[in-house]
Amino acid sequence: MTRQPLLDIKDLTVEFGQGHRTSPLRAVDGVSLDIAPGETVGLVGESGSGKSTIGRAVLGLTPVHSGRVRFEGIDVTRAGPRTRRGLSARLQVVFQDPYSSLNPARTIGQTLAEPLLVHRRLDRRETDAHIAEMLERVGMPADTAGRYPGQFSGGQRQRIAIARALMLEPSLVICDEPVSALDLSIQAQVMNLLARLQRELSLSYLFIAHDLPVVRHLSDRVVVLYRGRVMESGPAQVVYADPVHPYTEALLDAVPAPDPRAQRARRAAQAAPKTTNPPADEGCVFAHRCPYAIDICHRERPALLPLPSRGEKQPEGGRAVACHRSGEPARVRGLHT
Amino acid sequence: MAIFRLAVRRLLSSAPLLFLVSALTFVLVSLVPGDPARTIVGQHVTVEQYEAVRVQLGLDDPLPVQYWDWLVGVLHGDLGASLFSGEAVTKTLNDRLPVSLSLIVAGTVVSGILGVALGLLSARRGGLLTRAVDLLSLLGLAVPAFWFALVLIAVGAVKLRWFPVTGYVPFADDPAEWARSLVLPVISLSLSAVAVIAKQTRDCVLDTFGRDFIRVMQANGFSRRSILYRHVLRNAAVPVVTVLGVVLVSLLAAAVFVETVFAMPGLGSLTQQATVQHDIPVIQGAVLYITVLVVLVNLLVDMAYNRLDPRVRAA
Repeated sequence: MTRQPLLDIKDLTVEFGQGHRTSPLRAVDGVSLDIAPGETVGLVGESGSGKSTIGRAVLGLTPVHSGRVRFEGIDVTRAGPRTRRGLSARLQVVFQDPYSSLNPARTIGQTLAEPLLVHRRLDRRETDAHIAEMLERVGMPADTAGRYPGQFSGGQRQRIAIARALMLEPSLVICDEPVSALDLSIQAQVMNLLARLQRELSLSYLFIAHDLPVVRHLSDRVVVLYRGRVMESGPAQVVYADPVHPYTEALLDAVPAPDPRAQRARRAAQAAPKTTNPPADEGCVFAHRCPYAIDICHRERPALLPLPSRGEKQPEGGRAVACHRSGEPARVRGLHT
Repeated sequence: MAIFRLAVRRLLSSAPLLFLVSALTFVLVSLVPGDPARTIVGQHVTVEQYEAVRVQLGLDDPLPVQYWDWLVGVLHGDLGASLFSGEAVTKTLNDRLPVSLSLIVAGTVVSGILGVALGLLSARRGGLLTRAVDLLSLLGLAVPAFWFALVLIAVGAVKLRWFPVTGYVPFADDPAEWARSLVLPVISLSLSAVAVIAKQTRDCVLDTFGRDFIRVMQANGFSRRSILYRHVLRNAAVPVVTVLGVVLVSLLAAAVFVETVFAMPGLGSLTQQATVQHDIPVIQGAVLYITVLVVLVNLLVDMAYNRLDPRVRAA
């Protein structure tokens, strides 16, 4: 419990200006989360929920409005290029689009050599050996280094992008929708690759995705976001098996069921949003879509609180929910019958 | 080696193009009402005199025969002689080629440098400069070169007296005067080209900056400068080179008007005069020269692609 987290985000808020007439858009609103060494934390939510923005804020690609980001105990919230350069040996990223994530004008070998040039003084032969080893690790043929990105498929490019991220043996890799641009069968291959590399290299992942089964497959813990706020967090298996927040429940319900008859039945049962009004400044951001919303939900913002244990003595592995009604046993039971 | 082979292949494959263009020009010119014999003899001669001139010029032969005679001459390096001055067409063209080349090469260099610089600046700064580039490109495309040339003469030459109104001084005679005589024509020629290139450069640079491989480098703390010069420019250059090639070819066309307005003895003004006079050998020769120039420009563009983009090399 006293072990220092690898990544520690506290009250992170990111705003985007929308011109001087309108107030800025708050993409991420007071989010806190941490990742322990070797752990995978999944960040889920619909588009616009701020999940990618959190990843980009950690990488310094978007300015942080308030809060702080600590990596390996060092504050990197507003780190400049020099600090980032030092950091890049330990903190890496894999983006979604395999077609734009490699420079089309450079060979794979040149692209993979880039991080080595910055951090290590290796001669030509050592660099080549290192590249060959990493390519083999991600399951690419040996002649890959001399070729250009244009000669590879999406799945192969994503493997190469993963190889680039791992060249310096980082401790944390931010995976921003790393498989959502790929075919289903290729998705499975790349996910298995990520899982195997994690075991072999004791990596941590911040795994950002909108696809819930994908996140479940890889994550130890999940954090559910809606409109820039954390709705629920906890161990992946528990959250998936027993969602407490109405939004998590709605998200899980949105995953199509393989059986068409079950899918139809569920669709019919899904509650339509109560109102279409946008959320007010105060109150729960999900209240306007929530089938269980009561008066207080529209008036007061619920805090993210540890969920009291149900049945067992201990709190359920750091599970937390931001919902006024999470404590009501009747409602909780009512959801899952 | 591969580049050399590409050049040879492209030049060989352009032979049919030259043939086609010259044949088409021949037909088009003969379709224009009036003929050179009439222009030479004028209105007040007998039909016999007029016919005699036609026979003398070979205009009574059927069109395919006329074209065949011209083609045989070309293959022997003889482009014939002007119907009016009697001067060899090759000599006329060779005299005038440097004028047009000065104009077009200077125009390309100026619009290339200025366009890329403006585009880069507006990509990096944004704001007011971006809007200025947008406005400029709209203006540049809307304002015809010959009208802009007249405005430049009125302001830069007549009012301010900084530059000569018209005319051209050969480089060999006086390099300084040569440059001075080129300023206004080059400006009027480059206006639209600068606009197009600046806009294209800006859009390509911004597009490349938005790509994930650039984000990876930014996250890894590479400086903006090294990202821009080592990674963005190289990728943004491909479409810019395409536009540069198109612009160069359009400069060849615009040069016809600009040379006429500034009374410069170049290929463009020559073609214009020859067309008015129905001077077929001169028209044919000028078109041949200009076509060869276009072929060469396209070859250069292709070779630049080859250098810049590995995907082209693989194909």
